[in-house]
Formats: sequence, structure tokens, C-alpha cells
Amino acid sequence: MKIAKYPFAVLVAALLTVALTTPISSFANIIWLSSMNLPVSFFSSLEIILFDFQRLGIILYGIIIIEFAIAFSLAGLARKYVFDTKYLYPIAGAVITGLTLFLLVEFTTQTEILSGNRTLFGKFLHCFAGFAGGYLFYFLISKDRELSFIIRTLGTIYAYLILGLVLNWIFTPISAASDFGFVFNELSSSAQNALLRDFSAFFVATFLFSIFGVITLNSAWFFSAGIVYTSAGIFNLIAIYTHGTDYNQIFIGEFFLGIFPIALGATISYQKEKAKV
Amino acid sequence: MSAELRNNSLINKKVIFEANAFRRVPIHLGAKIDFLPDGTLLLTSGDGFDYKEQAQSLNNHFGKIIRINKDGSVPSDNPFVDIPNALPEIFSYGHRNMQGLVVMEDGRIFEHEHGPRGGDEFNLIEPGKNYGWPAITYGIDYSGAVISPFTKMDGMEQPLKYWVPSIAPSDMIYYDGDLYPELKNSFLVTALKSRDVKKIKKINSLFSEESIFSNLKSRLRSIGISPSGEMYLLTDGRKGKLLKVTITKI
Repeated sequence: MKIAKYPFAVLVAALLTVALTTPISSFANIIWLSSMNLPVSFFSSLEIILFDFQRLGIILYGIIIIEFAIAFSLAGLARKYVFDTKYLYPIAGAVITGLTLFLLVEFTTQTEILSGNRTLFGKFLHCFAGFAGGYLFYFLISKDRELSFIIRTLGTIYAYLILGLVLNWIFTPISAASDFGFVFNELSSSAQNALLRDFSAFFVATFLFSIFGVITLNSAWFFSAGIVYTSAGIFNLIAIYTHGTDYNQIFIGEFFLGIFPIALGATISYQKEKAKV
Repeated sequence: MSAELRNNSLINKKVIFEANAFRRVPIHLGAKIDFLPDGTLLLTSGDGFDYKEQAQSLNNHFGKIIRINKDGSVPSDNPFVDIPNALPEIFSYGHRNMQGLVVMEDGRIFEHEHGPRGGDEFNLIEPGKNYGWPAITYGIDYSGAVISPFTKMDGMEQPLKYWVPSIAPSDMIYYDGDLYPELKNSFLVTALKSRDVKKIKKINSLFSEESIFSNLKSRLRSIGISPSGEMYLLTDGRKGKLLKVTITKI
């Protein structure tokens, strides 16, 4: 656990930084849309914030994990050999976030992909998000973590992956349906209703199962999510080989989404049984 | 810039228009130019990517179609001539990255532009109209971020046609020749991403679409008709080719 806490602390710290970073662009966008007298409601603002957190955030998450891994390793060495202060990780987080955003512009597209980073204030906020990530990292490594920390981290990342599907089915269900191969307008009204109802319920339920699993560490929640997706994978194969439907390689993703939470649930159960003995 | 072509040399060069759209990004500059039947000139000026919000303001040339006379002066009947704080050269606004412009014999103007991720548009351009970018769009940002939750708004024009996912349209002609009968009276739109030509034809009030030349499997950059009526396609890339379209009789 002593060694494992470092990578998991990076994963959690990066997730916090993503959660603080993406709303900067969302709010920059919402403020501009409002300034144009467009009817930006609470609901549409929420749509922007949540979609940005998931779709923009998932790209940023990968980038921030890498930058934090490098920056915190260097900060750790500096703490050991140069001087020891708890602010080294936050400063490293802030510097690496600012540097990464600068380099992304200069060495890739030459454009500011994050609209929230176009102003000096926006740049400051992004660096602050890196600072907060660094501080959380320091907090998480400052004492030994239990297995529950790792399960909660992995469970949160799992829920984060499902969040995109949930948002699509809640806010843009017709688009989400077409992503699954449905020509929505060609379905009967009853079929449209069934499609939106059942698919939305499917993804919302599995998202909630995983969130409840993270909060309560009750293995039943993770098993529930896992059983649903594993079943989807099995019935996908049955549909292909028994009913002659088109080959759909999404079953690989379904098995991954099924086995992952089952593994988490099994780990929790095993630990509880072990504790009893 | 205007100039005279004499003996394969350009002479009397003169800058007749300079866009008030300073940008440090090397993309979304502007691409097309064409004459209207009245002899005035249309120019497209892109939104500059980082400056997309400026496409909704009339005090700059980001995301605008510009109309000027051949000498660079402003036609007196331009739509924003009498509007305070609006640049008088502006003909229409709310555009993104315009890549195709066709002026018909009757003066109708058709344009297409790249959307972000999704939301490429084919538009009928009218003076003074707002085409919505980035306040309304059918696309999302390349980063995955929401640009706008709105696709329609009062006072903003809807495209005649839009593409989700993007096809990356790159050029366009209206073909009314006789050499290729199957293509007659159609818009032909070259596309980089879908690697084909979209044949767009108006049937009643709807625009049908057919994919042609997809067998080339090449990013298509441009399309043109020679004075003798033959069609040429330009492919994109380091080994880009100029292809002549011929009809093979079986």
C-alpha cells in the first residue's frame, strides 16, 4: 500500500484538477452566451458544465495525469534532497499546469483550445487548479492509505467514464440513439419512447450503482453495475451468433465495463471476509 | 490586392482591402473571392479560431463576408453602411471558416463553411443576415467542449444543409455544363474528411445529397471547370494531384 498510494494519489489529484479546470472554460462560454442575450437557463448551463467536465475533461485527465506524474516525481526528489516544504507539490502542480497549457498552444495547434485559458485571469485559474491538485496529492501521500482508498479511486474513475453516456442520454437522447445505430426518426413513436426510456434508465442506473458503491463501499452496488454490463456483453454475442445480427465489437467494452466493477466488488467482499477471520 | 496580368506578369499592384482581423493563429483566415453580377466583389474572412466570438460583432472582419467595389471602396447599398460602429464593408456575419463560395447568374450566393467537430454548413447568403456562429451551431469544439447548447435562434439563419459528423468541405462549384449530364444543375462540394465530392441538388424545397468520386479515396481540396468545360479535381497532401475527369463510354 505504501508504494501504491502514490499513483492513486496522482489519479485523484488529477481528477480534482480536471473538475476545477473544465468549469473555467464552461463559465467563460456561459458568460459570453449570456452577454449575447441568448436564453441561457440553469438547465442549459448545467448541460454545458457537465458535458465539458466529461468530454473535455477526459482529454485533460490523460494530459494532467502525465504532467502530474512528472512534476510530483521531481517535487518528491526536491523534497528529499533540496528542501522539504509541503508547498512543493502545489507549486509543482501550478507550474506544470501553466507550462503544459503554454506548450500545447506553442507546439501543437497554435490555437487556444481551452477557451477559458485565453485571458490572464483564466490562465491564473488554471494554475490555481494545478496548485489545488498538488495540495491534494500532498494530503493523500502524507499518511498511509487503506485499500478502500484505491477502490474508491478506481470506482470514481469508472463512474466518470460512464458519465458521458449518461449525459448523452439525458441531454441529447436523439444524438445518443444515433450513436447506437438507431435512425431515430424512422422509429414509431412507441419505439422512440421505449428506446429513450430504457436506454436512459440503463445508463443512469449503472452510473448511480457505481457512485453508491464508491460512497458506501458496499460490494452489492459494484456487482449490480457489473452484472448489467456483463449481461449486455453476453447478449450481444448471443445476438450476433444466434440471431444473426451484425457483428458489433462493442461487446469488448461491455465486458470491460462489467468485469471492472465486479473485480472491485469481489475485492471488497474478500477484504470483509478476511477481516471477519 | 488587385493587379493587371500582362505577359504573364502582374503589374499595377494595389492593395484594395485589408481585413481588420489581426490574429496570431495561422488558421481560419479566409479563402474565397468572387464577383457579384453587379461587378462588386465578395471576400470571405474567417473567424480566426481563437477569436470566434468576434464573428458576432460588426466592428471587425472576423467571420464575415465582405463586399467591396473593384477599387476597394464600399458600395453604397451595403447592408451596414448606415449602422453606427459597424464596418460598412460587411455583407453578412456569424460565419466560421468559409471554404466554398458560388455566385449564381441570378445573383444568389451560396457558401459553405467548416463547422467545428460536426456542424459543417451549406448556406444561402443574404445581405445583412447573421449566420449564427458561434452562438448557434450543430457542432461541438475539437476539445469536446460545448460551444453553444443552441442550434436555432430568432434573428439567426439556419443552414440549407448541415453535416454531422463533419465532411470538411473544401471547395464548391455549381455545374451547369453539358459534358457531364448526370451532374448538370448540381452543386459539387469537394470534401477533405469524407474524401469524396458531394453532389447537392435541389429537388422541390429539399436538397438531396449524393456521394461521388469516393473511389479516389483522397482528400479532395478543390474543384474547377476549364474554359472548354472539363472538370478538374485537386487532391490534398504532399503527393497531391490534379485530376481530369473524363467520361468513359462502355
